[in-house]
Amino acid sequence: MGRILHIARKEFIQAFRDPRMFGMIFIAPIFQLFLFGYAVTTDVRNITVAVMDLDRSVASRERVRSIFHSGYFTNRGAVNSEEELAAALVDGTSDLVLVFPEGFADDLSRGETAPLQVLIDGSESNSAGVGVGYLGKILASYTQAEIEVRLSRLVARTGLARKPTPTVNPETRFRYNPELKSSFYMVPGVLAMILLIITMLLTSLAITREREIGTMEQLVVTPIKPWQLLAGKMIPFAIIGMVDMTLILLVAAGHFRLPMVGSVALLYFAALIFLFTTLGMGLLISTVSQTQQQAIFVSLMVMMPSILLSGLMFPIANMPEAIQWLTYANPLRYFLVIVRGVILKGNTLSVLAPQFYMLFALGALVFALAVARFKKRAS
Amino acid sequence: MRTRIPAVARKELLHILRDWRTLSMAFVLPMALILIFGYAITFDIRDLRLAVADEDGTRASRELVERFAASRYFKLVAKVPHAEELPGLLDDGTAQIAMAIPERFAENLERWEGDTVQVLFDGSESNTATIAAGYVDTIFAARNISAVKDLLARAGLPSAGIPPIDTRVRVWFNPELESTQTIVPGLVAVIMMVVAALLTSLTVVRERELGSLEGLIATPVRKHEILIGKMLPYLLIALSDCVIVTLLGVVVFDVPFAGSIVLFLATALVFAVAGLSIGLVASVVASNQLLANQIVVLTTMLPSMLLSGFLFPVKSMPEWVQAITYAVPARYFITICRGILLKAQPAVDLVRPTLFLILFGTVLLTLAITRFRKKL
Repeated sequence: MGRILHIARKEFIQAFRDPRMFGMIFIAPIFQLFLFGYAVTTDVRNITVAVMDLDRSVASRERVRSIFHSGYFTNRGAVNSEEELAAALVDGTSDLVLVFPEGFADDLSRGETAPLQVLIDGSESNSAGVGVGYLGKILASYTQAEIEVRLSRLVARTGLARKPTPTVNPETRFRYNPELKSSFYMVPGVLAMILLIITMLLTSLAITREREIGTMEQLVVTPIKPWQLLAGKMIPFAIIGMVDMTLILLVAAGHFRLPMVGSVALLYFAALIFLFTTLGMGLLISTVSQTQQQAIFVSLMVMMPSILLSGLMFPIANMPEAIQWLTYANPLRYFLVIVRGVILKGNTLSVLAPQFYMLFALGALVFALAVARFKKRAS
Repeated sequence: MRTRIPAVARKELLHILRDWRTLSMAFVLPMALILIFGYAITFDIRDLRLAVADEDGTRASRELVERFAASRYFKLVAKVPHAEELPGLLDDGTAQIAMAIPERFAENLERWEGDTVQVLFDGSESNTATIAAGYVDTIFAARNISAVKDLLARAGLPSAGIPPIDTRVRVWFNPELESTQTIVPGLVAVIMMVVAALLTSLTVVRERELGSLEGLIATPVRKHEILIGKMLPYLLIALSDCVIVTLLGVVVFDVPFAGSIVLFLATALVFAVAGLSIGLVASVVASNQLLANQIVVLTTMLPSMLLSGFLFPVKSMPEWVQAITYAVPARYFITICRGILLKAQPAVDLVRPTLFLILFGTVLLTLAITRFRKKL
């Protein structure tokens, strides 16, 4: 036990010898938290719209005015020819161009459906899609008004006692996150991500460094047993990971007003199981790397897919089926469901049992594999 | 005086060629990244898991459910008899959307009293919920229009002109409006940035850590000669990576290459210098390799992905975040990549972002050279 503590102490001293490392371990995660909490938003604002009015009627001008009045769009100005229209989309100054065709006002006054051409810049598919959605909302209010007019006419014609309403409207409610704040979605994800990055990277580099500098040989000839060496190296990083997690939870609650519906103890228990995978992966990486540079590259190769294929930013259900199968082998996937489930939904162990089983199985597998490889190399 | 840059560059190249593991990773990493990112990142949402509690159980209520089941955006995963069971299905993740059709739904419609249907969304996936709510609205709107038309027709009134305005959407540069088409050109920029900065981030600090910098210090080679010489071989790697990644994007993900190849390579060169310079700065200021790596990951990877317009439009961010994005080189190259690959933008449209990139490269390289202490 004493030997483990000695190594752990040495590892702590090493980790914080450079004061900037302190910043990297504790300030950087908070920085990332803010980045994700604020920058990641799929609300699309300030969509620029250019208008080509070929009808030049009162009706078309009125529609233009009300579209800009809605506040969803910024007016880029009028375009007057096909060339100007093309340029507005190519040079990126407009996300959308509305074309009011000739005869627009005539169609309306005849009581027919008037076509409105919408050209969109698909090179930013996200903004384009959302822009069309907003336009749809504005036009829906016209449809609603027209429906009211027709129904009044119906009442006048048939002498009904009151206006009929054949329409059904959804009464929408958002559970767990009533205001649909992106930060509620991202912050639990960042917590899981940072735990993975910090503990895996620190472990893989700390062990590879000993090999690169040559001090591993010295350690091997001391009476320290390989498992003691490993425990001593990993315990500090596990502690650092837990401290980071606590730090993030505090900022999340204090600044982002993230609720904590479920059990904090359950969350830490899950994190502890998750650490087996991340520390194990770090160790595994160190056994295949000779230099720290290689370790960093391999870590990135593991980290990037883990993060992307976990559902952290992009729901797994939208991925191609083959990719979805891959995600089952990703521990972060299960940990994320647990973190979001506990924090936002208040899920209990009974609901999350499948996730816990998988996390535990993967952790045990990775850890055992890593230790076996490390022992073989150490002896 | 003769410059010693080629000599330093040759020495660095030999170093790189000897370490085949690192070299192969410099090529494998970008290829792996584009394939994983390209497949995994999509904003195209489909098959939203829907649970329904149809307490009415009439033809009218079934017809409404059928509208959802027929849409490619929804997948009916559960039917329960009572609305009280719906929240549980959201809790355990079985469903993302839960709809409760009340008793007497058909009866109320029969009497033309309208009705509301409760729709409950799993808000913990806020982005998906926002989009899903839009789809739900669309389905109800279509249902309402046909109901009103029905009613008018039965009364012998004209039903044309509902809706009064019909939008005909045409998408330029990406006819199917697939998110892959916009994500892949952005990926080229993100991957180049990450790889370029990673490549140079360890060059100087490794020599410092291993002690071989001492030997270099004793020679008359000057600071800028060391740094520029070290950068040149990596510039070659970064540009090859750019070509490989772009080719994969075009071949695997069917992204068009509409614009000029010459313009693309020229701007990629400028961007690569900026990326490599970030790595050099990190390498010069850091005391160990881990720190250098962390600096690079923090200053390139996340900002390039999150603060560049790659996934989330810059103009939608809070003002103070927008101000930061001006300092993210990937922001400019993403605009350039999309412009050239998808829109065939002419050179005029590329001048501004390219000038920004040149400014970045110059400032960062100068910073690296001035901060580089040629002593121990």
